[in-house]
Amino acid sequence: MSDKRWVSWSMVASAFAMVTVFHCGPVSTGGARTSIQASLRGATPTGPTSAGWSVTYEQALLSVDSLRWNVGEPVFEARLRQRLFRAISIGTAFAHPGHYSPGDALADTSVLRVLDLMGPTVQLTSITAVTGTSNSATLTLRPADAARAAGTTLSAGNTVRVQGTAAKAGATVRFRMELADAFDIAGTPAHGEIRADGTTSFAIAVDLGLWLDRADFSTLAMVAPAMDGVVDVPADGQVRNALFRGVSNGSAYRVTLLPASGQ
Amino acid sequence: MMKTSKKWLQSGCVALLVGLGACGAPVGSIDVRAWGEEFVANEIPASEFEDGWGVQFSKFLVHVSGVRFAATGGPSYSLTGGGRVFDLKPAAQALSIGTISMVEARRLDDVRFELSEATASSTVGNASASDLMVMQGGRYALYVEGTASHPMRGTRSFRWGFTGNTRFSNCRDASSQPGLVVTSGTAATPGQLTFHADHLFYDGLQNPEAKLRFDAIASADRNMDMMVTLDELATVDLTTLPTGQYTTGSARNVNTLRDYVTALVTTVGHWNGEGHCDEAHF
Repeated sequence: MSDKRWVSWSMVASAFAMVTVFHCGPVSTGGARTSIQASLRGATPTGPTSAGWSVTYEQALLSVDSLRWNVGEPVFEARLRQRLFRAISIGTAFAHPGHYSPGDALADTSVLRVLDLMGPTVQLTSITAVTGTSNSATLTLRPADAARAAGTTLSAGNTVRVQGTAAKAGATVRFRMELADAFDIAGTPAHGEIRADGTTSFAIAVDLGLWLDRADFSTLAMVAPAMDGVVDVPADGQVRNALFRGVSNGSAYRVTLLPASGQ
Repeated sequence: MMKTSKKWLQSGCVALLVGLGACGAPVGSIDVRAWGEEFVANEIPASEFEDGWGVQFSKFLVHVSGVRFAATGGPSYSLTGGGRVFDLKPAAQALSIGTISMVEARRLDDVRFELSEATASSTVGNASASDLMVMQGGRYALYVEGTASHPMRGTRSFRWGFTGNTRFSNCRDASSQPGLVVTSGTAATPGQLTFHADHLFYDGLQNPEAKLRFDAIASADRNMDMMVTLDELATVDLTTLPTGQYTTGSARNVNTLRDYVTALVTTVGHWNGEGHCDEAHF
């Protein structure tokens, strides 16, 4: 047998070994460039809050920096992770105690404006994306500077403004407040296949009921209203605390894949 | 020339064996262990807490079931015997809870186990018969007893039983490698179900900067009997606590301290120390 044949045989064996070894491992893939659309609107409360108050909004403003769709599974959702997703997600150690790992970003857009959640649905078009399966989303909410807040009732330096009326058992309170905090809403469920044809569209509904779900407006009973009859919610009050927790809760942002047109 | 041919032959054979060995027949065994680490065996020292409290457990009962090791597209191996109750408090070292033999020596990338509600058919592991009765009576998946101490605020005791089923699956080690690699031979490959007791005191459900706290829990002792019950925790609405504490991430319906601690139970299960798993209620 010539040396050449030994070499060939050896190479075949080595190739077999490589194929066999890697056959037992994960498979990775990349996505093609495309774009998606998203719409964003406020979903007003349809019933009393868990604290028993009926809240009617007059204003709901939100300063949004960016939106991102990720491969990573949401933290608080009982879904079995598909093996492919694991294969292409970032392999870093998870954070304690919630284990949200965003993985690869599939779509990303800078909104950089104040959204009126009581107004018409906001359309975000031509969001840069790659094909793949989205599982979660992150929303970055930041205080608006003067330029961004101009033309809205949101005061510069704030991220959220709400005004409305809360009623319960004959008691009625008109309230308003703003939050100056920055919020990173991470790992909210956002499942859907981002297709290559550029027609993928998501609807994002901000659950305004959840924003104030735990507010106890009776705590404002001793607060004198302003000249216009509206109570400015105190900075250290329970109602403001409830709004902060409602805005920061990812489940208040429901991201839904819209059916493809023609289906 | 002949010498060169031999070399090629040898290297080819080695490569072929490597290939066969990757999915081949050698077998080993898995020594399945459970441990609560030093935090359960000894204490969670005050240095770990943000507010000066320290916690010492006197009982840490887990009901473990559904321990399974599998290779994607390959064999799967389960720990037999159904759900069992273990007390991790006396375990100064990892407790061996069973051995699975005749396991194909390879990476088993899908490791899962359950922290599930005890049932009438549950049995004792290292726990006592009375511990088993406590778990079965309350249908608990986890039951903890302990004392928290603070140099200024004194002590508070707690006895908390948690129902609900959590499956920990797709477990990865601390380096994010899936499952474990079973080696061939007589020495069993250890695989440890690790329970992080400190998670019960985190103040963030989805926050890498979460801190351990006990102040709010201690203050929930409404009847001032120095024993904080889950019912007392249920009276503390999160909106009465500072906004930077007890954040909920994307979790729904977590409104009170009781909801909060209960939600944290689903985060205690880990794999081989610091490894993580996907967590799901079922």
